[in-house]
Amino acid sequence: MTGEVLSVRDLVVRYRSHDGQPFTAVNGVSLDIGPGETFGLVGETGCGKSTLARAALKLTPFQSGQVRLLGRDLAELDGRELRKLRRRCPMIFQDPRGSLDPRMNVGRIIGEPLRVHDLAGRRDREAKVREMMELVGLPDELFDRRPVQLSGGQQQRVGIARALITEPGLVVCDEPVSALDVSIRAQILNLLADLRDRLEVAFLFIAHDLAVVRHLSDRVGVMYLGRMVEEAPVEDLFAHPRHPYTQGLVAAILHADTGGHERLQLVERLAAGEIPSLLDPPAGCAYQTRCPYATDDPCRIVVPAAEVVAGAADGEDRSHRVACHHWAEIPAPATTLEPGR
Amino acid sequence: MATGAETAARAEPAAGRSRRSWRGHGWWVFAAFLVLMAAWAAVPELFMPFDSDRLNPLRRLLSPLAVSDDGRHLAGTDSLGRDLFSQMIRGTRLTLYIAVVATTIGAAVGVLVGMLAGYFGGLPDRLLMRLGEAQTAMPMFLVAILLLSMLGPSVVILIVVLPTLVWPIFARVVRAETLQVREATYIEAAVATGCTVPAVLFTHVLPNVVPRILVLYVVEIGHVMLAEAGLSFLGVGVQPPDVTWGLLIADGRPLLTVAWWLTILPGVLLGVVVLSLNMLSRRFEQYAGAAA
Repeated sequence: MTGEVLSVRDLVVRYRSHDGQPFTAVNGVSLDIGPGETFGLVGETGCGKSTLARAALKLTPFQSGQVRLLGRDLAELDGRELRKLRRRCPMIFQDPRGSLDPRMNVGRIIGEPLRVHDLAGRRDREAKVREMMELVGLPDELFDRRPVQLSGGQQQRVGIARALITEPGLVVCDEPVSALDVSIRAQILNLLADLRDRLEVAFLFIAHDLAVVRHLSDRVGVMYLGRMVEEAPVEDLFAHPRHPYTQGLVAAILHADTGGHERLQLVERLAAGEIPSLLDPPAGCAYQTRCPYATDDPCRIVVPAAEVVAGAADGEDRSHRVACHHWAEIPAPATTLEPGR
Repeated sequence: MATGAETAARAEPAAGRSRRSWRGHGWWVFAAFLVLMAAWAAVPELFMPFDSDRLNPLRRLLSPLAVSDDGRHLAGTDSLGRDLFSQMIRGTRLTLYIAVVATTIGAAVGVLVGMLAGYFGGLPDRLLMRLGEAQTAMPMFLVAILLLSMLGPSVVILIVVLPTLVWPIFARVVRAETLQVREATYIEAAVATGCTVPAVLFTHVLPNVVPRILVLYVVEIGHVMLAEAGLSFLGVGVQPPDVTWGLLIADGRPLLTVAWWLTILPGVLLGVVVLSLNMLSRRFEQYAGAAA
């Protein structure tokens, strides 16, 4: 585990709802991201994936667990050290327009990390900003524009440029394409993939769409109701999903391609109904309310622990882990996906 | 009245056209007037038809537009024979100076307090805002009179006392705006970038809050002006030989039945300036609304 860019152990984040009811948004999640690795985190809205990312950057406080970010234990950092560390772990946000200060121009926004961390003089800064704009495909004449004058795709490019200008070790992308038009999504995803390859940056890539994650990630984690239910290398996860929830998600993304109807039925069976409320989570396995394989004992009593599936011998980061009592007995879905990106 | 015109213009675009165009361009008349006032304040000598301090028993209490040996007195003369119009021009500088400086200090204090209260919330919020409310509950005008009569009237003390009248208003508005801005993703982005709290407040919160208090600032200049006039009128504000419009009104009061112009004309001038500030603030409001 040495040299990990981000290492999260048993993270627990609790919040209070608006009427003061406490609930657990992230419940004992662990994950590791190595240098230059892209970790895709998927799950439904409200499953705690954004909270996990924010807690990992200490933008939100966490109640227990350990986070090592770029080799530093977050619990040991004081405010000053934390601010210095943030230069190396920027974030790209879901709402591109909202994440840009409307009173600043593009040049100032992209150059802000340099200014905040005093990394370059005024002249130097402008040159670096222009260089960065070219890298992310922003026309030079946009330098003096305000965010409202840009298109959604351009706004997100500004967000990406701002994140990458300080040569970070880890970039957290919180659903960076969810708010964009479908036609723009591919451009932004390709840009991110291209930058990842060129800059050797690690990414924590959050999405609620498995298809988006599939193209970009080395490893994928699936979250459900505050817990990590399955985690595996990307090909492995798509070829051999073990958790019934993952099986449903994987079946869902390609139902349009082949065997449409069959797949839809599979999705229906594996992920029927609605996600339960975090305020009132079921006892035992979080997924039991929707799972076709759930049994009274142990599923409705004991929370399943993450178990290592075959492939563990390949080494730590190749492991395939699943948190399900019955994973060994569950039949593989009739139609698995061909591996590949 | 103006709101009525606005609704009419919106409801019937064709019929309200002429009125709307007046609304669209009328503001510059007020702006021009304020520019003239600023010029009076900057270089009064250029505008004063007479030496405002020169006494002349032979031309005491001349009514407006009367002609003496020296020439025409547009606003008449006072009981010592000084030209009122010249005195009004001379008083502009101190009147505006006190109002602008006091309002600016009050606004600065209020903006700082409001940003801190709104950004941090919790205990600081409650403490600061209760402080403002406690002060608002007191009749500050009376407190100002008390303070000024105790410390002795002077322009400096006036400039210290007047901001206490306005800062809670700024604090309240800025706090409300800050609460809104604080939730924006760009604030989280700034924190994630590694900005310090002062950096977040002054480079991200302040620029997004200031345009919305511009209107309030202009209106409050008018309020402070009236307050200063009131205090000077009561004798605890500006003292002779300094001149402000409030002081002119006070000086003319005993002679109201004999020489109405001594109180009415400086009063009208004061009223028109406050009106202009209000009209201009409406214009700012439209501008801020369009920008948001």
